[in-house]
Amino acid sequence: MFESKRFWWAEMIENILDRVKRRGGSGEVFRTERTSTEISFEAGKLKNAERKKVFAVGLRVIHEGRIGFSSTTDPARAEDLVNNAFVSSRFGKEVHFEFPGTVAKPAGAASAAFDPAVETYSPQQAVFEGKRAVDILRERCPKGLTDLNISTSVTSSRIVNTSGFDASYTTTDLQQYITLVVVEGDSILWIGDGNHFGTLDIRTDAYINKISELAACAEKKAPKVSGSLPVIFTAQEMPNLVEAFELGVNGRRFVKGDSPLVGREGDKVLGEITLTDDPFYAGAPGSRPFDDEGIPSQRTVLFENGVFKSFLFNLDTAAQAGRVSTASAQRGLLSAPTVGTSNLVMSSGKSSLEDMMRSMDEGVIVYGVLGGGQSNLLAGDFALNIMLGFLVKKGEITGRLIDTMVSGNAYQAFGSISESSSDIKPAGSIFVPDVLFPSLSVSSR
Amino acid sequence: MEQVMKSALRGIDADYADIRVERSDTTSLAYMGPVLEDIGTFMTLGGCIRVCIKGGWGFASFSRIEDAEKSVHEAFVLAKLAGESKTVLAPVEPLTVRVKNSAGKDPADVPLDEKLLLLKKYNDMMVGTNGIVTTNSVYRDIKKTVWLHTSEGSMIEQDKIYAGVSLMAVARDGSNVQRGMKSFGDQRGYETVENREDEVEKILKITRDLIHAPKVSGGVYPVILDPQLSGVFVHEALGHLSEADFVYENPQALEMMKLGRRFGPDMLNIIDDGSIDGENGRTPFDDEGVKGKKTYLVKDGILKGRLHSRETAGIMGESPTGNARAISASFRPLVRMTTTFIDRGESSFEEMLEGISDGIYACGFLGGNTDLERFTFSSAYAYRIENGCITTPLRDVILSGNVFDTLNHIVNIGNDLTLFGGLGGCGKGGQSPLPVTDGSPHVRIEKVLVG
Repeated sequence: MFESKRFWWAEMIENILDRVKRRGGSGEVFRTERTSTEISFEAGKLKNAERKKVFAVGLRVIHEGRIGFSSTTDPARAEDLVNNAFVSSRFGKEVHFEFPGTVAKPAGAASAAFDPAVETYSPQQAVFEGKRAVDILRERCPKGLTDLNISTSVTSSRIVNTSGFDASYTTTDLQQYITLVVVEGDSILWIGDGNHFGTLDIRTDAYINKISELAACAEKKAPKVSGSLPVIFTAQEMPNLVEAFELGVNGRRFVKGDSPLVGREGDKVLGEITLTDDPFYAGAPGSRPFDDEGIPSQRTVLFENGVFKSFLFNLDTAAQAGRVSTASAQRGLLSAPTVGTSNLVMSSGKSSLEDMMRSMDEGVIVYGVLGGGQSNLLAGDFALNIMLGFLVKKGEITGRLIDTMVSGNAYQAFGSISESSSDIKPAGSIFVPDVLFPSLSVSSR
Repeated sequence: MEQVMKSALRGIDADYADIRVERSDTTSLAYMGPVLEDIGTFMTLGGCIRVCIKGGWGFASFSRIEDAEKSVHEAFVLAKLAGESKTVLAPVEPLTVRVKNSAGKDPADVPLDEKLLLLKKYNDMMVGTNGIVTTNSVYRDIKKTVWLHTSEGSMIEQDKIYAGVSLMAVARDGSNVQRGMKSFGDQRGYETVENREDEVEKILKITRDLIHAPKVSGGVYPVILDPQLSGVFVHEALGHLSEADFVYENPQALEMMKLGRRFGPDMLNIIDDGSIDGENGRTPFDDEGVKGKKTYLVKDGILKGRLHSRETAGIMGESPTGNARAISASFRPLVRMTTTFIDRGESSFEEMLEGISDGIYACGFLGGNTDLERFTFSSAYAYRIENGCITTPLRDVILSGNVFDTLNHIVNIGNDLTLFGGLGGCGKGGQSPLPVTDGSPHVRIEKVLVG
């Protein structure tokens, strides 16, 4: 049954590209097929189990130098798909690139994370794991209630174009998140941990140990703080800051000229850190053999010891900028490709979380924030409400911060990192150490 | 379609089951600067089955209608796995009904080049302005039909048409990058996006003001929120707290949200109403087939009601409100808002300004977030209030605070209720964006932390 369906889709793709060629255009079909499962517990109770299947086909055509796009989940509308793509190409942007042809697979090529154990992990196993976590947390943190979800997915992607490129890969994905909710009077405390991997990396015990430790620390409230203080961002929260650079290095921003990094290649922009876009990272969610336009994956150093090295480009932005693609095309199920990162990897330091805490006379450690992505992050500005954070004095956590914000500018903050941990931790497709910033603005209400 | 759906559920041995199928056509256009960056159409067809057994839900989605029967079996097996207590769903009357869209001019009848010319006109007004380095102008229309069939016998077909634009101008002065933006979108039809030149002029004025505006100096201020920002505030601050899935299994949370509790001054009335025609949040029937209605969340300052799915209403012994919504047929319905607003008050804007010696007039909306106790949201632009007068522009005005304190610090509610839809929407449980409308009159709050 499944095999016959695959065949049937393959036939549809051929058919679509034939129609495109007959109308005098060049074309590219991007097909995604995804099966996912998820189980969820709410307030300690198993509530929902799901299985989803998604098929989607996106078609780009280049006709008379202009590009058009259409996509569908409905295989019965292959003809509309081609028509709509051509109609939109009449008005579409003039482009100066061609769909890439067959490329020999280079030695040591990147591969997508694929773990057969994710494919066979059953909802029953997930429920068992969930119940175990909920039971332990109920005993250790009787004041709280646990929300939990475990999801797996298997995604196969295929790109075929009229220049002769035809390749596909399959990737697996596991997400496990646990949140303890503690309501007392008018106070609501969320303590969460979890992660997102390409492999069956179930870390229930690590998550519940961390949650129960943090819950114990959160019992005591810290006094109000205000002023410039040293602040540790734990690796899990670092993506809130790193996002500023993700926006800044985007080739679309280069073309539009609104990134603060325009004209600064070769300049020392940050402190002694190196940040790399790395689709080769083994087992990571963003790893892949080629990008969403079929360009073989490559590592791109974005910042090397603080010196800004490169923007990220897809075919279109590269052509506009007079550069080459960095294999950074990325698209959603139903959307045309834009520019995105694969995995972002930051260099580590020499310290440990404990040592960094000890080095602070008085400082803040952040485990959870609210309000990411609302400030003018393209300019590097951030202002984050600390959902879960503590006041640290001489290495000891003295209490939980209430109604406190931390703010600053990512470009300035990364200009003077005092220390970071020697271990790199995963936060989805971002791999970062815990980082100590010597001075950020902190204010309690 | 009806026949396929009926036969899929026939004979299922479950406490409850439903099948939902959605077909949609989307047209999307986007300019970045002078360049038409995206032009495309998306056509989707998909469906899902929900099965409830002993209080546990099994959910299976599919993209080929032929797979519906197989998905019923998958959902059934998953529901058996999840079910370990008792199914309690608030009763609703089974219905057979067909609801037409509420749009005037159907965007599907407007040729693509006409849509493009309209967007280009707005975009050109911004691109051609001195000091504007780039723009982001988006047009989108969606035409969808959703069919729902329940094991209790309901068969509901609903047509919806959304049309909207989102317009943004970006100015840059060295590393200072500022944006002015507005977004319009609802279910009224193509008319919603026409004749918006005045709004483009406003965007340009806002952007020009912001690029020269000083950063606000942080502190606690009396703040007047414009209707759009105040609408976001009520959505974030009280709306999410009123979603019953937060309280129905959590006795401490329920104690906090006990009906009858005071939540603000007597003049404060907060309403969610899925039955308002034409609004972005319009929900004649929710994704469980419950009719949308007007629900007072707060009446005369007192907590009066909350938003329900059939399950949360059933377990809490309250009436369903028609708030179980999903972003598409690939997702299960969650308790969500529809059109949520602070009701009209009595103050004029001039009365509100009186007596503010050093305050902030915060307008528009960049983003918002809440952990239910605290909220943070960014105004798109703002002005200083000095001695009762609006004076200089300010940038980077981010408001944050405690939900409960802040509602109690409301001192004036204006007489100028305005509702806002837009191209964005609300996110929850991995489902975003769900079309909602927020609204309010101008509101003055005595003490707000501004960062």
